[in-house]
Amino acid sequence: MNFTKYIGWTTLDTAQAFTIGVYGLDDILLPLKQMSRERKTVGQLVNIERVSTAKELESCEILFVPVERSAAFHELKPDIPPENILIVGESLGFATSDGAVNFIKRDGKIKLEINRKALKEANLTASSHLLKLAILVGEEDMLINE
Amino acid sequence: MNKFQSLSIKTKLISIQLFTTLFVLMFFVGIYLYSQYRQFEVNSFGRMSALAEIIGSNSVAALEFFDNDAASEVLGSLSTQSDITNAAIYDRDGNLFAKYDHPHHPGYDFEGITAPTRGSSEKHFFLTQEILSDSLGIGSIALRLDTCNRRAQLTKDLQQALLVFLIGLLLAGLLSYQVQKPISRSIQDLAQTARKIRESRDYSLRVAHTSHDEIGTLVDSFNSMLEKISNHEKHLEDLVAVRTAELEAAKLKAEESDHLKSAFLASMSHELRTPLNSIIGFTGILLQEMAGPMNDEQKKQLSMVKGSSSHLLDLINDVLDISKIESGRLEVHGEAFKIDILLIMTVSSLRPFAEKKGLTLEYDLEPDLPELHSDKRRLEQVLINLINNAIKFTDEGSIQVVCSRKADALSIEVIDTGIGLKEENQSFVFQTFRQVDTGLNRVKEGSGLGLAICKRLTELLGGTIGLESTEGKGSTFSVLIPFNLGKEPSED
Repeated sequence: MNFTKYIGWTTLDTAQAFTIGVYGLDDILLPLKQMSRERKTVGQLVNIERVSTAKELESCEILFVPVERSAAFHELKPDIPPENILIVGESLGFATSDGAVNFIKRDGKIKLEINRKALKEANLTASSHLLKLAILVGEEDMLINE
Repeated sequence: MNKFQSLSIKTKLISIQLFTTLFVLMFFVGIYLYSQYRQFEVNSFGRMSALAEIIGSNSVAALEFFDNDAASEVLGSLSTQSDITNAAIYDRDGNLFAKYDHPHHPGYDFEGITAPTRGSSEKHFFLTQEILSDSLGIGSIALRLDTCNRRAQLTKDLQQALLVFLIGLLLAGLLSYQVQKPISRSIQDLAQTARKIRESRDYSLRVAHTSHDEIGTLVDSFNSMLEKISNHEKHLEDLVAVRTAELEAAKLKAEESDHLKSAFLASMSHELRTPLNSIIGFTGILLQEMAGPMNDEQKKQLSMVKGSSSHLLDLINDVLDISKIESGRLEVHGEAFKIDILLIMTVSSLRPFAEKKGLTLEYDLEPDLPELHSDKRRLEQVLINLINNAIKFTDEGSIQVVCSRKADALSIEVIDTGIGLKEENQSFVFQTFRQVDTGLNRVKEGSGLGLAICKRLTELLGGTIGLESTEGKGSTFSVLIPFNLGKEPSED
């Protein structure tokens, strides 16, 4: 939830609540809801929703894919609107293939992977502070495209 | 304070100026150094705070994503600040998150000071500031700044200030020495002149007028006071001279009058004595019936004439003697003689007068008394006068003359059992023309000169005369005459 303020949404309506969708799993839902009550993201109220269909994703700014649901995510992915949704995962190689941001554990620390190409395709921007901290993946594709 | 009071005006003036300068210099140097330090402190904390702000905001992402390495990297940028020795970032729970040590100051521990604070130690300033993310505290940053260089600079400043201070003090001393001169010199002149006048009593001295201030007024007043004293003294001197001259003239006149009086008395006494001797001589011839026989009544009357004449002659002799003594014309002539013979002769010649009154007149003579070298006639006169006086004032009993040796002097005591003298009268029996009032309205005849003559003669012979007396029991007159009057005849 921390990094939400480091990502820029071009169509973000600050008057409405910021919605984070969690794909399919209930275990992580409760702790996230607890956190959202404690703090606001980018000065907005944060809603945590459980989503299982592409339709439910329309009101979400972030889709979080737990490691257990990363395989199932491939089924959903073709239906996801291409822009303005930040797809966040926590499984190995997620940022390279499926999402724009991925949390992985390396040397006992949680590290952040960012796929700038995926971000660009989703019409999102990442702040330099975040990029500085993150491991950039899929850069080869970026270079080819540029 | 007392010590200051005893200093000279010059020293006082210099001290006052020096202390004033000292105080002003100390005050300004103190203020300057303090403001330098304060400014340094304010600047240092301002810079530390700005640095903490920058480092803190650059570490927000690292803190939020628990990226210690990234935070350490941000802290590493402090290496451009040579005086920041140590820095640390703590997370929300106060745990050390990242740390930076200057190569020369490794291993410093902030001891978990995570609350926002500012502080200083002998060589360092400390600052701890909160790191905020969207107004929420997510950690804190602590900085430690080395102040040694700045302190060294301040010490150098202090040394320079002290140097300036000393030079200032020296200049102030020289300046005040020059400036105080006109004031202190005027006062010194004044004091010196006053001391000279006190020592020499020369009131003609004056103090030079050098200024037109209060000291000038003081000098004017002092000079004018001296003028007045000088005039007054001159006036007094003139007055004393006039008075002295007057007194001198009066004294001369008095002495001359006294001398004339004594000369007149001496010559008059002599003139009086000549016819009186004739009277006495011819009365004697008549009494011896050499001019023819006389009856008893005639003899009795004539005897009274002779007695009165003799008494008159005695009185005249006394007056003559005292006049001679007082006019300084009585001379004493030393000659060698034995006191034994003189005493025996005198006592024998006067014994009939004593016996006539029923008195005994005896003498007591110490054997082997040495020869006297004195004026025999004057000593005899003293003896006669004293014995006659004793006979005159003794109605019953005895008169004894004791002659003995006392050291280098001959002691003659005339002891009677007469009426004696009251103590208050004893002091003036030796004065001229004084006869003690016996309370019986002059029952004793006499000129009142006898004892005065005795005293003068004794003194002429170099001796003394004294009296011990008890009223109603008798008197003792003591005469002390030196054995040797002196080879040269002396004169009063």
